Amino acid sequence: MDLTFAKEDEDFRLEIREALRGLVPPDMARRTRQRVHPTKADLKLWNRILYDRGWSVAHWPKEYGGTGWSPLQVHIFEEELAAADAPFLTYFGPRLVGPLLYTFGREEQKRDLIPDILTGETLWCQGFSEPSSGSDLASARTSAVRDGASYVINGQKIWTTEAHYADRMFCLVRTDPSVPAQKGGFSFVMLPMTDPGVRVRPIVTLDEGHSVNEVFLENVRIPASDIIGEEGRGWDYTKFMLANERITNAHVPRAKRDLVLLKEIAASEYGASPSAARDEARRRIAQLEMDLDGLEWSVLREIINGSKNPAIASGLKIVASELQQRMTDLAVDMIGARGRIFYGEDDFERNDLPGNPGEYAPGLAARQLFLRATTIYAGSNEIQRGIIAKQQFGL
Amino acid sequence: MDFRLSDEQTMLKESVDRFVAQKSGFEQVRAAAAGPEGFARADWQTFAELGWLMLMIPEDLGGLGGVTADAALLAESFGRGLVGAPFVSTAVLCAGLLARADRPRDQQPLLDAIGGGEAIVALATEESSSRYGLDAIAAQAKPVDSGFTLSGEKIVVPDGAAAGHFLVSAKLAGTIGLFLVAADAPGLTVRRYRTVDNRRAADLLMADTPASLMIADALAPLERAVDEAALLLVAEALGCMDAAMSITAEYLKTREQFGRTLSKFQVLTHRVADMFVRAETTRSMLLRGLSALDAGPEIRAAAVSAAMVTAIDAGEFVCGQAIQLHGGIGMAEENAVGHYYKRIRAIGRTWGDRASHARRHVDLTQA
Repeated sequence: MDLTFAKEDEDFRLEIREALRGLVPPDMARRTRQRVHPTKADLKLWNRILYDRGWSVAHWPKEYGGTGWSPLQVHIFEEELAAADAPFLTYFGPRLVGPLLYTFGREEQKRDLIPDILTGETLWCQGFSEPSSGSDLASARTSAVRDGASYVINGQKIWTTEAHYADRMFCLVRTDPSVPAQKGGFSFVMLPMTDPGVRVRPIVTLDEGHSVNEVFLENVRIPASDIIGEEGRGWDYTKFMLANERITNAHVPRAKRDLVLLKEIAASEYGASPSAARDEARRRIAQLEMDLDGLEWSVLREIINGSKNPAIASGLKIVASELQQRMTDLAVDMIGARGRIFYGEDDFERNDLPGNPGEYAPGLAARQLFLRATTIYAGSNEIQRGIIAKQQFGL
Repeated sequence: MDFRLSDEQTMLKESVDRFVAQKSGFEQVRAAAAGPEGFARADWQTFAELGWLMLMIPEDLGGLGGVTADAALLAESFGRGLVGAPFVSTAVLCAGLLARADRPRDQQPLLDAIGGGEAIVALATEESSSRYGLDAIAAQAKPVDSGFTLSGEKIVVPDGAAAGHFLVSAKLAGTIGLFLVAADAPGLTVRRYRTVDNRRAADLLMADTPASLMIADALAPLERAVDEAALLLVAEALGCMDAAMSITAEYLKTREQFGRTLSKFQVLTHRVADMFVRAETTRSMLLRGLSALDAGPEIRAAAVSAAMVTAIDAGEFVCGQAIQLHGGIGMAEENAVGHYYKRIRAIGRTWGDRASHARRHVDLTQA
């Protein structure tokens, strides 16, 4: 057992930190701190900036455009990105469909699609949930019916993040209604969002922001070659993608950055002289820091010696999602009565903000509200607890 | 002891429940919230016609002389219907303070206007660094020939956007004075804006703003009045919880996943059971707070803070879990449960928050 970071990893961190210095435009950094939903322009620009350094998909294998860094180095890189207030790149190309394509895609799919994921030229969205299939994803009904050299897709997807940004969707569809999802009933297809049969309806969330959508698919005809990998393996691919993302979803790098910001808010709101209010805020921050330390070391264990245990991944999701909520809850609590003001995520563009707040206040209300979703999305925490009980204990 | 409602209270409750059932469909509430003042003036007129706006004005000043428990029935029902009208600020808090003014008879015209639904008055106490401390303020009053002028700022004045008058706290020769300021007074800048719960607040910037003195030594009456108002927020929070629970239970009965309704999943039904237990405890703490309202200031303050802490925690749990149990659809702006959650968030930082109430409780109950 060796419980210390190697010298080369520490050196790597310093190199990355130096290389990132000044790389994030200041207004983009500010938006990253204060917006819960990244703008399309920021996603694309930052993707391009990273691409120019060969870092847009640092976690990928080198042959497909990644860096070949060790998983720990990738983690260190992502911590430094978060510390620099760099936007978190869109999930759907770099994190989900990209690895699916280079692992299971056909050669021409890799050739045609991967380059534009690397640059951010093509933005993707993920067609997963449906109105009647949330936690129970296996009941999804959107269908792709073979018709000669085409598939014809009909159905409805919901909670589709960034569908309004996306050029393409990778979409979980039923290709064989006669067998269950787990037995080969599902496949993944890709479709252009510009198809006349695709209609995107915004869903405004609690925070009054727009990041998710309903997507209606009506007779969307795609060439049969636009099935991803093999027909009938949609459920396997879904599990592959979710397993790939078990560590990223813990969002430790961002949480560490948020902890630093919480300490800045506390220093600004409560000053340096002791008071009961200051003590309490500091105690709450300390508790969050301890909890984050626990999460971080759980993630390090997975990164260094991955357990492949689904119960561990589910545990990380539970801890991380609740921690993110508690962190923004505290941030709002610390701004006192101003926590009642609806500071929208673009409010920092204004110079006449109500309540005369500190520069960290804008966006907090929206962020706190939107983060109620963390315990719901990517498999609700109730589902995760069920997975732990079943996978770990056979219950 | 008898926890049952009196006949008059039963009638009052029936009348407000009827109003809420008729007037406060979620769509209407959203429409009212989207308007310039965050509530419908027509509703306010109905309140006046039903006598609710003079309920808490003492009988010798022309009111109905109701007790706080009566107002709590209204507040709870308003919570259930997400009614955004400034009932607590104007008809309880400010009416109560005006009735306790050093010369209450002088306030008769304004009290009449409140009772008649013509005047909306808001209390302005919070400042940039006061953190809910009613005495931790910097605004200053200065005697002038014609009365007083005020200078300083107030932030996040609840219901401040629609108010024609403000009751404003300011330092006056070593005490905290309470002053009446007209919204169109010279030297006053009112910045009106929206809060998370879709209501409207205001910041006040005062520069030698003319004001009339209501209460020269106002700290004790202010503390009592704000405690009373806080209890009504507890009542309103209860209404929010009650509605969020009902909507959620209904949803669990209809939404199907894995081939059965969500009501067949014990982890979800037990969550609703926990929500119920928390809400019922809040109701007990509300009643306990009401019982202590006229006890000594320390007993009252500790009981109100205990009720607020209970309500804030319970409200966050109940309405937060109402969203959780709905899953994705609970996150949609067009779903009602999120609006109950937002109202709870606002209640939990009006005239005090969890931390300030918990600290006050510690200070009052532990040597």
